[in-house]
Amino acid sequence: MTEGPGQGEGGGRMRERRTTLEDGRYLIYYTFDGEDGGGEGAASERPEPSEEAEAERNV
Amino acid sequence: MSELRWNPLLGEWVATATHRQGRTFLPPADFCPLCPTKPGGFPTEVPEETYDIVVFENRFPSLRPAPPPPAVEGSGLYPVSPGAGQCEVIVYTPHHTSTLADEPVEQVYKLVRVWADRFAELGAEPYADYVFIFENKGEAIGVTLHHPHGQIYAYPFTPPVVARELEQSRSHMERTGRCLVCDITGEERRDGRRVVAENDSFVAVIPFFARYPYEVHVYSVRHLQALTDMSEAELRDLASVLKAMTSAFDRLFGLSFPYMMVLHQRPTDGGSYEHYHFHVEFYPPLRTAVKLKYLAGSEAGAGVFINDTLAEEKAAELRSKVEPVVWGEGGRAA
Repeated sequence: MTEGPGQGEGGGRMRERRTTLEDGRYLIYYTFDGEDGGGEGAASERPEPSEEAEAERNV
Repeated sequence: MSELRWNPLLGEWVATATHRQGRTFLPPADFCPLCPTKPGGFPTEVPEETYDIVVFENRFPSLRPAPPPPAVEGSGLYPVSPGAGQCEVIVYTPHHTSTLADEPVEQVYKLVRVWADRFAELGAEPYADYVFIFENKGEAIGVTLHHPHGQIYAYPFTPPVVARELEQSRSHMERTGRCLVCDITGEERRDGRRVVAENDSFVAVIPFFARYPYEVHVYSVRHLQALTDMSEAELRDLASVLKAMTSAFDRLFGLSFPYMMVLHQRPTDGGSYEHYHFHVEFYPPLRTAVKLKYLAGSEAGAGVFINDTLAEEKAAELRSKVEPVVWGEGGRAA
């Protein structure tokens, strides 16, 4: 099991588990530990938006 | 058999992959190769009973790391090269009837993180000059499997469409000192008429030069070249805007909207591409609920797209279908 990008940065930990299929192809299972609902950590990475920018954001 | 044949007229490679003619074509749900394998059931590509996101080598690849010798001998006029590269399938969810639009944004975020991981890993391979992440969705596009999935191709060269964008970007920077996509994004935000969705990190527009009625480009606000340049917040915002756009597409006509989605990132050949700018492009073929935009003579033969619609009108229509993306709900629409 190896760990991928995004770990320890406010997101759920991503893990990968590799296996080999019968015909020799590789297959990688990605799993994510812990549900991540967005969190304060992510928001704190962004600079404070202006009121105008705030109004334009719709997603 | 797979190989690369050089087209001297256009100066580009064509990949032949004759074994793909026999690939699985629209199987019934009980025989879906991308679903998890049920105990005692049909053995699929995925041996386990469930998964979050899974990636595997394509059973019918157009390119592979150790390709067979070409089927034909090349010549000075027609060089031939073994089809070296990689083709992966990335399965978005174990739920057969779901789509990216139906999945909760948290799942889309997981997908974005897996994309970044695949870009980094495949990009480090010696055969990979370009890692191309894409999705073909819907029978109208020609998909052969309904289960929600995308693909990743590692090409041994920079593909022509990206090569043109790179040249346009380089030329613009040389002329103006500025990034082309940064200028496009700035102009679109100032104008506003073609902006469909926006958050802190991304702007989605129907481009001024749209070729398809509902063509959408998603540009990063910050000047960066690849998923691996993004912060955690930017990866989340990308998931939000992709969820928003795919959901808005479905609301247009109240149906699961077909599209091609492609990620344009920097090449992975070790070169410097500071002049380039990450973006996602959507090419939906529908122009109404029942009519397709076909690539006919002018498009396919001359490279000149004819768009029967105005980008500003279509953007207003699509923008009205965009809804805010809420994290933490966790529900699946389908």
